[in-house]
Amino acid sequence: MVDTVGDRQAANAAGTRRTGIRRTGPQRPAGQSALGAFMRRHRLAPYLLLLPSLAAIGLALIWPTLQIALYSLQNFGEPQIVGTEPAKWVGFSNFTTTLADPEFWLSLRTTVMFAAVLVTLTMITGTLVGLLLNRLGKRMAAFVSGAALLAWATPAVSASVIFVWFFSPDGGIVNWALEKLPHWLGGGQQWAQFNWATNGALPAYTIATILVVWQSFPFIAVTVLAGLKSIPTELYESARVDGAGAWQGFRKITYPMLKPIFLILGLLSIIWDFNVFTQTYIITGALGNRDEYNLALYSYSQAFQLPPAVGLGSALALILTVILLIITIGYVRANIKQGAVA
Amino acid sequence: MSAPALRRGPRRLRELSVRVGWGVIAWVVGIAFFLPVLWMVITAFKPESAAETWPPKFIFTPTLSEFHLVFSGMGPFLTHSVVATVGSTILVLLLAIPAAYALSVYPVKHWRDGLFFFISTKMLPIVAAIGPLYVIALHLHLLDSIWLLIVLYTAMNLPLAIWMIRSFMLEVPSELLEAARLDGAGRIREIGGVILPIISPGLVSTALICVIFAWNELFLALNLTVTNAATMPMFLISSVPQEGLYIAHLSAAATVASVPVIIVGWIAQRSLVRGLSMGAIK
Repeated sequence: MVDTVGDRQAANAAGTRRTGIRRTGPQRPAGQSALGAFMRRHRLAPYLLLLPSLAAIGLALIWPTLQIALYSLQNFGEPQIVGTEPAKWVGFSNFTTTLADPEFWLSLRTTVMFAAVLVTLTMITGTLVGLLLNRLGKRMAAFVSGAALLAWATPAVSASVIFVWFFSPDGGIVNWALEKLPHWLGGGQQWAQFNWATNGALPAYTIATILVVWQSFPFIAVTVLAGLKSIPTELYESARVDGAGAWQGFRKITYPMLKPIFLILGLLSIIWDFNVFTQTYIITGALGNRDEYNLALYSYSQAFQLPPAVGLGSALALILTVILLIITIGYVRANIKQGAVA
Repeated sequence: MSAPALRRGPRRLRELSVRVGWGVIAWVVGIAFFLPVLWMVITAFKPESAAETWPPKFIFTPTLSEFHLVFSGMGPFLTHSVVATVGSTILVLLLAIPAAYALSVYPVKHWRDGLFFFISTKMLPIVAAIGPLYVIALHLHLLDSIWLLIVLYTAMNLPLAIWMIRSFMLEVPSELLEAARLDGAGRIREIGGVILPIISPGLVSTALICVIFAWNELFLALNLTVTNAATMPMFLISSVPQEGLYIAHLSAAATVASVPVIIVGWIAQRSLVRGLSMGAIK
């Protein structure tokens, strides 16, 4: 994955740029110290520049990750947190306990379904809005992308509490609007008391899906737009001369040209949508209904249950990471097979 | 002469109708984005009795009473949010600029691996890691401390910032760097005197994106802080009503929490769009 995407990137960065990257600093004045000469010979200076960032990531992410690996093999709970009892090694029992928990599998199913719906919807709507933005005049495009940015920037917490109220069966504006809609558009009296929180396959997720899509497709749209701008218009013109329609143009030119972007966007979307927390946390009512947990909520409740079971939570974190890795690697592989990143 | 003119007539009409069609779609899409935020802001100005009526009221006497209530309890939350957001964003830029330089203009040998190492940290499920993070913070006596949030937000935003700034640095014409080097400019002068001025719009959009992400972050703040470092999203959570008439109050709180990032987003719209897409594309 690393190399293929990287190659594509380098190819994107174009030939001249590439040589620019590769060029070593020519004609540097001779170094004064032996240390300087050593560093120059081994090209250590750029590593020094990377060091602070690596240290920050190491401190805030890698170290906790190692701790998680450690905790996952221990019976780390309340007494260990307070320090009254030392942690005991318990082998893989945290993992087997988690994998034997039916709630885990239920929330895994919920998460995968939720993420699949979200990724599909955000990618499709995002691409459509990106195409729309590309067609519009300057002023209209500014209006639409400005409004989209507004949706994107609104804090998830604000948006969640507001959306819950929009969809509330008493006083919610969505039901009111649906009731006022003409019949041929699906409106009517039946919406007046429609309860979004109890109807549907997974009630909380209807609102959550609408909300997450509303907030995350602006990013897709904007990125797709930037990609579209980079496609030379001559390609479309020659396709039109050959008699290709709009759909053919998209399939034969736009899609292949944007494939690398779609790949990255899809990857990011999977990661994000797999870990949705804020929206579901608020919409399910701060951990009310256990049947509706996704993995984020489930692991959160595992870690902060009483008494806290840090060991179990850690095992779960590792399982989650592995699942996410499997899904993303599978996704990237499937795309490479299709020739997205050749 | 008349034949082409005649043919142009219906085609013009078709083009016009197509343009009108796209215009209508654009308005619908734009308003669909815009409406929820607008309704939130409108409701914030309603008196509580008018906020929860059925059917919704569109004509009412606007009042600032809910805002007064919100502002009265908000002070410390606002301070914490500003400190955590600004502090982490400054740190991110300080760390990301040299790192991006070492991955683009003056690259280390394994710059590709480096790039993917940074972005791969985004794979770690923070939600699942919160228990251990809590224990670590507890042992370091950093629970409920603003420093903890600054460090975590820095780590959270750093990978994206490195990717974005790198893509901007790659756009600096290599002739300019060449010329600076021939003039005997060292690496530091090359960064400070040539690259940074050119990519400053990109830096601004990177910073703004970091500001938005840090400002909106709820999960870490919710679990690792109580009172000494609680941020605006937590203030909003605490205003979620259990019972009764609270809609106007909630809307006012949500509006206040959203206003800074919405203003940031609005002012920086163009560079944000550019920055966001650059980060993903290059």
